[in-house]
Amino acid sequence: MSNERLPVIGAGAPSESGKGLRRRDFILLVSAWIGTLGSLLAVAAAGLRGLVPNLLDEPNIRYRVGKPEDYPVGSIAFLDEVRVFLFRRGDSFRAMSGVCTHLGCTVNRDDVAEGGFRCPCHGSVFDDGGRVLEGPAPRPLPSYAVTMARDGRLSVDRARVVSPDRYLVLEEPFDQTDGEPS
Amino acid sequence: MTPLRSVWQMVYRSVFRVGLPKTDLGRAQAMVSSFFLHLHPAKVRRDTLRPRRTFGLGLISLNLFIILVVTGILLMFQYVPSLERAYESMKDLQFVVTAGVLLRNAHRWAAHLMVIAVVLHMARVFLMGAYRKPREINWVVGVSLLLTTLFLSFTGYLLPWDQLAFWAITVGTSIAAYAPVIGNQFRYLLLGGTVVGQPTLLRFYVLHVALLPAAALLMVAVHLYRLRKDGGLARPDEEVLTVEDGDQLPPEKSYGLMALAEGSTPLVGHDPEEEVLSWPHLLLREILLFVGTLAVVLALAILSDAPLEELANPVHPPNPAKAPWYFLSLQELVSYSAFIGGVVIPGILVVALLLVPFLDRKRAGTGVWFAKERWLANTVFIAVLLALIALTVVATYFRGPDWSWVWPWSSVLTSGG
Repeated sequence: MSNERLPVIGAGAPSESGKGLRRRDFILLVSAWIGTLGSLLAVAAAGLRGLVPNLLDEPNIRYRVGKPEDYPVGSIAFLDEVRVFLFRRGDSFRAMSGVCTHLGCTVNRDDVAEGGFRCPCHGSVFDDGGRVLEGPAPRPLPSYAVTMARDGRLSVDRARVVSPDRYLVLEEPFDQTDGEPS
Repeated sequence: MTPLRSVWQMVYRSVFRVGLPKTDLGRAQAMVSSFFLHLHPAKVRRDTLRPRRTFGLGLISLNLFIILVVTGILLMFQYVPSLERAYESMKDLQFVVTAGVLLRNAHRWAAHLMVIAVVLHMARVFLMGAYRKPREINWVVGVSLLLTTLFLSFTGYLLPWDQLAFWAITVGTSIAAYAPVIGNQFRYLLLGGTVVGQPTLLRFYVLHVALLPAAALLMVAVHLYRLRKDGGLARPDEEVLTVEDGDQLPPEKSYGLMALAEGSTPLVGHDPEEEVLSWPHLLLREILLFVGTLAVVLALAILSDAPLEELANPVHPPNPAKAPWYFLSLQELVSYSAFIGGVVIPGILVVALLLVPFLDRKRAGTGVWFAKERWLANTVFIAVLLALIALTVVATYFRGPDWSWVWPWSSVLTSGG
């Protein structure tokens, strides 16, 4: 069987001048390739997009903690689930991340030296305000806004980074254990 | 019995078409007609078989890969990639499964040895200048295989879900986040979230048991195919064909049966004394090397147990938290600067490795150990390798709690290691 008549895809007849593709064939060829590759890419993109999670099974960004009276005056509490330090000074509260800005290890309260935090992984040292004193950490530990929720519990908003000097000051007597209806 | 026997003969013949070869022609035919053997040439140069030329490092790497696939599949029957079951699976392997300890040890030792073998294989190829034209692309495939090997080790490291695993992966994926522009998105995708958790474990599991081994298998196939097509081992006296038109480029070294049956063609024009039949000379050495590799892996697996630390604690890292040894040089570098040490320097090293065959277009000194003409390239390569080894030694023996400098002979307790 002769295959003379078999059309060769993409190989158009030569143009009048004798070289190159005819304009019509060129347009057909280009649009066919764009269509083919484009649709393959679209399918691949749709399939891979599912790998970027839309919902996380992780602690809330605005993390609800205990009541103010749960934290003694002058204490530094560590909130395990979100790895945040909660400072209480008098009637004021502030929160600071305990995740080293270098490579994500949890910093430890340095009890030997005078205050500050130390990362066990690569030796970064931070002061109580989160500023880097030494080591490879590129940024200070961020401080987060602390607010009082309606139910009288404190809330740490990890989306709101604030200056380390910002405290939540509780002016009214907040010890509501007596006043609460029970 | 006779009909049964003839049926057996038919089946046997349909599988082993030429039977056990008795003549040289038959031995050559066996190599080309079998799927499992056809990656081999029918004949090899005596040179190729000399241990001192290659130390068999590429083949040892392949053997270790095979051992890893087999032990890995057996481990998959025992392991569940969930936060609740992962660590329990490790304990089951240790206390419940028959030969479970041996299985896990063998997998771990083969993985360690494969990193070493692949690096040494690359060093051998570099020091001989064997990456040069026409083997540029195969060198690039080889570098990709090295990176895949490291990534396989890295993903496998998380699966036991002990303290070491959890924090090594926390640190490792945080390094990835320093990559410019896409760093943070890449980490989010890799972890399946913002912290190492259940999605991370599942992702690393799929990467470790499916995606990366499949990619490695494909690249190994390409690597071996190109090894054949590019003319086997690089030699000082080989001719490099420079036909501009790719279609016209004849295969540089390929023995069809015609070549053997009809005598020499221009392509096999060299002294036949230099060559021996692959069956049995090459095959026998391959089998011996495999048995030897397996013996070493098993001996190490019997002598030394894979460590398992306590269950992962996502709140507090061990102190010091050390990565596996093949990433310790990287960890030592990032302890100075995460961006320079974790992204810039490794990036430069990988790009330099990939570009080497395209920058070095000379011929002199190809295919010999430590050629004088290559002193500069070889010195730089050895210096970088020694620097990485030095960093690894420092990170292993001289780093204590909080990554502070300790002397190995001081009595500071270090966990893991």
